[in-house]
Amino acid sequence: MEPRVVLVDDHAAFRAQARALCEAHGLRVVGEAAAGAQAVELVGRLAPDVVLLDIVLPDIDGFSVAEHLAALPMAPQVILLSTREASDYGTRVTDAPVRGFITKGELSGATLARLIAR
Amino acid sequence: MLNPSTPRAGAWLGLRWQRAAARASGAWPQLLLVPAAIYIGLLVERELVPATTGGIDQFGYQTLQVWVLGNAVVGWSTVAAGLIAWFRRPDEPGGRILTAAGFAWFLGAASWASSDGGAFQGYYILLVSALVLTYPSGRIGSRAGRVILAVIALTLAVSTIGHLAVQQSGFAASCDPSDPTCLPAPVTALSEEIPGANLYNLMDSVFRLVLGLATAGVLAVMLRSFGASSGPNRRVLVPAVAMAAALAAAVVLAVVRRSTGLDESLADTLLAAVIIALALLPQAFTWDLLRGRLARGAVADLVVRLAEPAKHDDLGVALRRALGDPSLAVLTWSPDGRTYLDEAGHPVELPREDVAHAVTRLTSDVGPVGALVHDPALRARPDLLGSVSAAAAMAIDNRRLAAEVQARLEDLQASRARIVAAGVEERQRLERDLHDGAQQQLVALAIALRVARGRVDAAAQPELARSLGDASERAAAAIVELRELARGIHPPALSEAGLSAALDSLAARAPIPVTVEASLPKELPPAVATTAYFIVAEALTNVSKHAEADRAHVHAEVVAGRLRLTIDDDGRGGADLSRGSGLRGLADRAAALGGSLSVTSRQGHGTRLLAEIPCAS
Repeated sequence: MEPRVVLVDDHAAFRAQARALCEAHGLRVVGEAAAGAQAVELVGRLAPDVVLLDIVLPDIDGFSVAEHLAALPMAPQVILLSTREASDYGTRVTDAPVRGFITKGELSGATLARLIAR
Repeated sequence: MLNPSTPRAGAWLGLRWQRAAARASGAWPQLLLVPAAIYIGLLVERELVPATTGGIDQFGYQTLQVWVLGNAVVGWSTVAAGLIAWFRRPDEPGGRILTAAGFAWFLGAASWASSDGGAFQGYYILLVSALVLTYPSGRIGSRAGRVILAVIALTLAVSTIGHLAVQQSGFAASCDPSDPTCLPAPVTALSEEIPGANLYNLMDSVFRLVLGLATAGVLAVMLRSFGASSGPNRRVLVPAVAMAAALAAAVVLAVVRRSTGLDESLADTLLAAVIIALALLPQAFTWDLLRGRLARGAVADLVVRLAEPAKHDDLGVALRRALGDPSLAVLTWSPDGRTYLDEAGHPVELPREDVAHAVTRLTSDVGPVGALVHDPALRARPDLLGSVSAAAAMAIDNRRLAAEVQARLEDLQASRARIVAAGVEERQRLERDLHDGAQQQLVALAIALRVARGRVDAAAQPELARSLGDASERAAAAIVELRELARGIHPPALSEAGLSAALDSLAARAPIPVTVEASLPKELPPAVATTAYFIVAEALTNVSKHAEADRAHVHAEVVAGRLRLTIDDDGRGGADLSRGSGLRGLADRAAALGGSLSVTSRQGHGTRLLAEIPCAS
């Protein structure tokens, strides 16, 4: 069964392209959220396998969202996304309860496949 | 000049005695003039008494008595006053001129009494004129004064030569010098039987007239400068003007008496008055000179004291000492409050004058600067009070100016810091705009191209597949370039994770191994953190570009409210802050935040860059 994905990013254009990319690589996008609180609610309801989570969000940032998601009963695998590099966040990325980090420019089927455990 | 480091009044007084002693040790030749003057005076008297008997026909007996007695008194008094002034005020010419005048007086009397018939009379007039004309500045202030002095000197020189010449030719023949009863004729008209008498008499009259006019001229010059001056300056001129008046009176009296034959008793009275004046005025003169010295000494000490910025707050102390008035209070005018402030800075009313309090207002060209409340007795010393008030006004004015400059400097420093902070904010905004705008668009484009490339069958449409692959790679490269550009504008790590993380990230990207040791508070002012970040970034760039170093170490900590950064490398050293424009600019930014940047770099011993920036946290 193909992994179910929720996309969290405030840029619609990015979400659209990410959805296309995911679907081209055998992931099924079951929901999209443009803000942190909305994402927590959506993930709680849909219980996806994977959440692609942008760090910069209009309300709470991706790190806080990741904390919330990790606390859910059916915690998904979270992959943090950012146009910036992981090192720009110091140790926050490695300290976060997430599966991994992908710089947005490098988002591809291959980078996703490497992180998502089937 | 008094020593500026004289701490207490007692020591100050002691110092004066030391100085007096030091002066005395170098003044022995002057002191030898005392017995010389006494001896010469007695000698002249001995000559004078018989000589005057020859003049009994012409002058009354009384006149001659006044003249003989007065002669010695005037001479000695002048020499004594001159020596005291010379001894106490060796730096001013007054004492020497006065001493010389005393001796010139004796010379004139001796000359009058001797066989040369008065060839060396009148030099006293020259010296006293010089004395009053050069007082108190030591220079002759007016052109008229110089001309008059030159005329007197010339007249005297010609008179001396003329007298000597006449005596050579005819006067000596009038009686036989070997005859003990033959007395030289004193200042009397020669009888016409003697050859050359007419010429001699004419010359004598002309000289006396010229000298009379010249001394009147000296008096006029002195009166003019007296009229032109005011306050303490005017008061200082009083003895000089009196001296000029007495001199003019003496000379004019002699001229008038000779030409018109004044009433004897009136003439005697006038002569006595003039002689008394000439005997007393040198004393007054010297007294004034010394008193002026005391006042000037106190003021000089005060000015030196006030020139020391650390002692600025001791204005009241310094003024009380300078004026010798422990009750003195200094009030400063506050232009903002339009009121006077006491020494503690409290607003006060200017007190009413009474028996215990006198008020001297201090003003400058911008208006009132303050006031001195002091003992009314100081009014008796207007010169001292005037000088001290001027110095106090200057000191208060300076203090106000210094405070203004300080305030302006603080404004400037604050505005510099604001400009730097605004710059940092602006760059931060720019980075965020890039992140939210162009970078996101580019990322979407890159992914779209990647998706499109995935959809194309490379076997069926190889060219399209290659084009899309190319475009996708270019988009990815553009994303990286844009990210680096944004990082150069403002490192996101600073806002996202703080300075420590940003320094770690810098170290991680450096081409040589860099260790970072940072113990920093979570929140630093953005301008401080950003400046620190760019200092380290520039330093590491320089290390990898120029230092040929194997490794570098960055240390950052906050000590006593100052962020302290050190960047060490083990390279070849010899770096110079003034040569790298990048570091120079950062040094300016650090300075704008009240910090500093320095480089220690010895050839072959690596480089240490040390930066300190105050941070409010």
